[in-house]
Amino acid sequence: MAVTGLLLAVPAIFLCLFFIYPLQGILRESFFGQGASLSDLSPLVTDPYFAQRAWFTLWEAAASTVLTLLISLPCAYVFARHEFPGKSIVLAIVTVPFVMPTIVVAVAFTALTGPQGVANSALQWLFRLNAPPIALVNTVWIILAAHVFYNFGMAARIIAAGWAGLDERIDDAAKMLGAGRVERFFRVTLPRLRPAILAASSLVFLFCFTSFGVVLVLGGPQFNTIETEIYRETAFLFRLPLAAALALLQLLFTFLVMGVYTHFQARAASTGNVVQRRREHTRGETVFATVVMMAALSVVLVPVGALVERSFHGAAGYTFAFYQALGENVSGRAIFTTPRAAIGHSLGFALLTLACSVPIGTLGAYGALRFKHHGAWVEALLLMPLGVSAITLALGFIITLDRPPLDIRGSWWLLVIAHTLIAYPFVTRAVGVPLRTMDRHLREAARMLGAGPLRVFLTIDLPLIWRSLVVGGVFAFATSMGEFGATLLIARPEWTTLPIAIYRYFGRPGSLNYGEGLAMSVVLMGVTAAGFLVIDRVRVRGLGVF
Amino acid sequence: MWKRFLPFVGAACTLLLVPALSACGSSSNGPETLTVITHSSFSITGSLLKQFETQNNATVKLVPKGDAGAMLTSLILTKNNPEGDVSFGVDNVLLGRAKAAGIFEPYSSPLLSEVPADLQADANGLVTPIDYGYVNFNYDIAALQKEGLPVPQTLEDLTKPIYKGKVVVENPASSSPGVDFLVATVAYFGKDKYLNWWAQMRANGLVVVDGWEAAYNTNFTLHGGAQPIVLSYASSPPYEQMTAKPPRADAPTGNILPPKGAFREIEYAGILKGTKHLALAKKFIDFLLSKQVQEDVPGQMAVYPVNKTAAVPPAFAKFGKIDVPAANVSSAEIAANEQQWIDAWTKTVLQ
Amino acid sequence: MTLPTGLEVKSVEFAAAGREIVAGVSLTVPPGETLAVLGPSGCGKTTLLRLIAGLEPLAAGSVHFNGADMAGVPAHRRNFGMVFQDFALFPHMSVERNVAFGLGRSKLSRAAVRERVSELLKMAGLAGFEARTTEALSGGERQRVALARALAPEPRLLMFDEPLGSLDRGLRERLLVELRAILERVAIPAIYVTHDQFEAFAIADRMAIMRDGRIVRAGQPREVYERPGTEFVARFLGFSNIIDATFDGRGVATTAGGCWGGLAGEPGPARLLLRGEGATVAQGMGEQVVAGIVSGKLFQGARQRIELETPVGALEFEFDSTQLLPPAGAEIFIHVPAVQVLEREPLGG
Repeated sequence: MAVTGLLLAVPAIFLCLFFIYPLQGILRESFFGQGASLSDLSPLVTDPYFAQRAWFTLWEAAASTVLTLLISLPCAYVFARHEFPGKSIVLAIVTVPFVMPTIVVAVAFTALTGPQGVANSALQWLFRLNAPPIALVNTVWIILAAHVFYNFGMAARIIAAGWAGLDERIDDAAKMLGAGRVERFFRVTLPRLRPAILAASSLVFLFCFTSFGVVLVLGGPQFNTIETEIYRETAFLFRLPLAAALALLQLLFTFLVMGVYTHFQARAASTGNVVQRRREHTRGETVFATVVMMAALSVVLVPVGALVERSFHGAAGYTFAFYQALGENVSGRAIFTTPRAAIGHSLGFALLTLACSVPIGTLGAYGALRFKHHGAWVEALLLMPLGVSAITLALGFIITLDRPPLDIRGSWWLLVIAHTLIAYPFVTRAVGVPLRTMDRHLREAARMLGAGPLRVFLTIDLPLIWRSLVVGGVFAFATSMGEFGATLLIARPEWTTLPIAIYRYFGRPGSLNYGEGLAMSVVLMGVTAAGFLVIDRVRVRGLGVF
Repeated sequence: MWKRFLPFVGAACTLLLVPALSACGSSSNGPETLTVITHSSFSITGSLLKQFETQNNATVKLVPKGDAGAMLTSLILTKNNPEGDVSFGVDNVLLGRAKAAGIFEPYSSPLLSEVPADLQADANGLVTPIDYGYVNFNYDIAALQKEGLPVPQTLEDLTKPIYKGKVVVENPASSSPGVDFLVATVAYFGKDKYLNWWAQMRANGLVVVDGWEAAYNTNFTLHGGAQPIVLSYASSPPYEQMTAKPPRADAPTGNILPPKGAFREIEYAGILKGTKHLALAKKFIDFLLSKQVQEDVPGQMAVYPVNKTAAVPPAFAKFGKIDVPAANVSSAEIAANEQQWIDAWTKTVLQ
Repeated sequence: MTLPTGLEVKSVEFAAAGREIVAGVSLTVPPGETLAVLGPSGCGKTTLLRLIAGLEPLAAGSVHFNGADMAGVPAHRRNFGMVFQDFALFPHMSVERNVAFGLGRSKLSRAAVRERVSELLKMAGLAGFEARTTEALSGGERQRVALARALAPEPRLLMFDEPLGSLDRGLRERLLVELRAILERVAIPAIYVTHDQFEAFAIADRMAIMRDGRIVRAGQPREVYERPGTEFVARFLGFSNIIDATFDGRGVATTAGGCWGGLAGEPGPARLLLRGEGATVAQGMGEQVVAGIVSGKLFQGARQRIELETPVGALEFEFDSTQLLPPAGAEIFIHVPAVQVLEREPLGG
């Protein structure tokens, strides 16, 4: 029993040491450091600009979440109920957008919808138009589109994990009672999917709310979010008290959102956990599934395809030149990372992050469950790192973790810790879904039969939560692969990761740099997709039919 | 079967122990290590750096820290326990803030004799100018030709209706070239009139984005965007020519350089207070001012050398000629008024 | 030193959300005996079971087994077997692995385990079911698997939480018989919790009836049935002919319908239980006779049931099908020799 208590304390200790401690350091410094005064906070109240930004942030996050859900639900259905060859590849592909650095997404969308992009060129040619008809860049629509592009894969997978665990016989009962397909979906399936939908949508909402790069790059200054404000106040205008106040506000908001969602989740009825028999599908169902899968793939592959095409397209036609150039240090730069090195670093950090987030995240989910009445708020606390501003956190690390016994400022462990901090909440959130809906009698039956806590976990819990565990793990891995904001400030050039390398290319003029940036982006997507495929292969023995 | 999970549990445990352990024993005996904190765009030829290292029996550790603003914030916050010995990347816009925070150790390199006086003006012996660039509008030659538009010559030209929706600038509140250019317009038009020009630009469909990467890589017609005129650097056209693949004889873009209508951004290197390697740091600054490194910076960072004895690559001379004076604003003035100018600009252009 | 005294529960209490769920319950179950705990839903019987199992912490009181205090012994070390209401079969394991689960920590070899599993399945009437998956089983089959699984690790105490609740009548009766036989064979103490009095009667050596967290009546099934004692227990056991009556000072109870003498009771109002044993159709009013109007008749095969409206309320009686009964709406007189006075319930909680 004491061991269990100790284990459950691990996420709390981790959070205290590497989140609360650095955060209080930077906040204290911002509010009370030299040159700071509380009058710096006055714009927050006096300038209507901030209220406008907050309102806009809320609105676009909500709209993005709804759109994402609409697209993810059909995908989740297909992932949960259909098996087909190449399924794991499709799963990997829809997850790839999650890791793409925003400048890459911007370039991809421009390649697709920009005035000289594929879509406009095609339409102009088809309809003999003079001017490009689609003008989406720098509008709110492209932000929503980008958010959906980023998040629908994650939402679909989390919901699918929950959907797959639903007992189909309840659906059968409804069928026998005369309910048609649509009615069954809305009255029988949807309510039972509530925990999974809430988990997914809370994450999507939070990401859209705290989204940094997307809005910054694609939207332009009319569409700023709190996160971009924080960056600007910290790095550019140097109004630290304001930045700190905004960061705190964002954290509080995260806490509230997560708490409210978990609270609603907790009240959802138990759905039981059954292993489904593989069922035959009707022709109509198969057609529907095919259409949905093709749509999902297009959402991802079309912009990505435009990007890939560009990476092979030089001024004189198709060429491998950009890829070749990646490995050559033509200008003899001191700071140069070969693609192989960058891949190695990215993978190394991502795998370490995975190894740390899975236990910490799972322990967190279990720990929260222990608090019967306030479990929702405890879990919300554990999920707070999701809402922290990357630059605030990075600065917090830099100024607090510089003395023994925690002098890890220059150590690569700091990067692993930073990545784990923002990655483990995925695992916690994902695993929380089946944990809450698990039939508690199963655990008790095992205990009565003599199984101690560890055996109960391994033989009863694990087979029932592993699906969600894998999803959480995939996104922990993805988060690390794509992490840029904090990494930029704490990484050393010896451990350059792929996103940093990509930004280096896009940060310089020159078509060669542009092309190399594209090529490196394709490498990043390929490596990440491969990583997903490997993780998805993890199976737990004794699961039987899957 | 459960033994498979031991590694995960082990990783979680070591997570808490190893950082503390690995931090010990990180000091090495032997060659001195000089840590140089830079922004992410810093670049230098590896062999030159190696030369410095061998000549001084030292190791140079380069630590990029995001953009210049983020780097400066980090330096200010770690004043009492700096992460490095030398910093490169504070420019004349940020200099006021850096001075106020007192993070630098004054040093005047003997090589400053080869640097024109006006480039040293703001530095006054606290920091050392290393390179400079002009922030001005670039135009896409082919795109303008295709649309039959003449090349604009002055800033006032850009307010003409033929250029409606064709200009993209970066937001001064979040982008270095953005604020640089804003300061230039204040100097060019005067404190009372600059907002008029910006209002006219807004009415003429000015596109504003938040960063240079976005403007250049997604809005500029050169990369498939809709605007043939982008706020960038005078060194961008020659750089485009130098790095073109397949090689080309001319540059695809050109500069719009009205006299006093561009901003001269000067980048400095400074020794951080509290460094334990003062002598080596001084040597490094001298090294940065040396002819060899100065001739290296255009190719590596797309900037101009401050050392007048250094030669620029031919492409720079041909396609990036900067023989017009730049807008004249001191770093002290910038530091005092920056916030106000940005606020006024935001109200005029965005709200 | 362990004494073979079986289970001893002393004054256990448990409360949740400010309410007492189990309020001072004591009972003993010696080896070889099956105790049925009977009560309506919400009376605390399942919680009592969970307290004994160690799945909930005791607020007060103690649980001893063979003289050893179970406080501090976690649930997985007590070696008490439990069969849950919804069976709680592990969904991702075959029947064999389910049954073998409890043997995971034993020192038996794989072959020995397999053999024991087969043996148990055979005893439970499921020979050859080893490889089946649990969702392919019918309700009765799952029940048997749950039983075999609970028996596998040779538990010292067996607990059943309404195990037959979700099965149909015929299946239930059949399983009850088999269960009883198995329990007699295994000869360990067993507690059987149910809300169905027929199950309790069929399986129990002793019964305890719970209400609102307390045991209100305990004893052997026959004894409890013959003398329910209070109205609550009587109704719970299925008796429905309970009427108001008034006692005079001489032991005669009168109701609007009839009167009975020879009963012990304080003068004043009382509740009377009219039992069905020995009831016959009478010709007219008299002592120990109730009169009423027939309101319904139900044919039940060998027996028939008749309901009648009387001045003291609706009553029902069962007779042999061959008994001639007046039609609905007609008057009927029933002689009821077996009548009991019901004790007043202790007031308060």
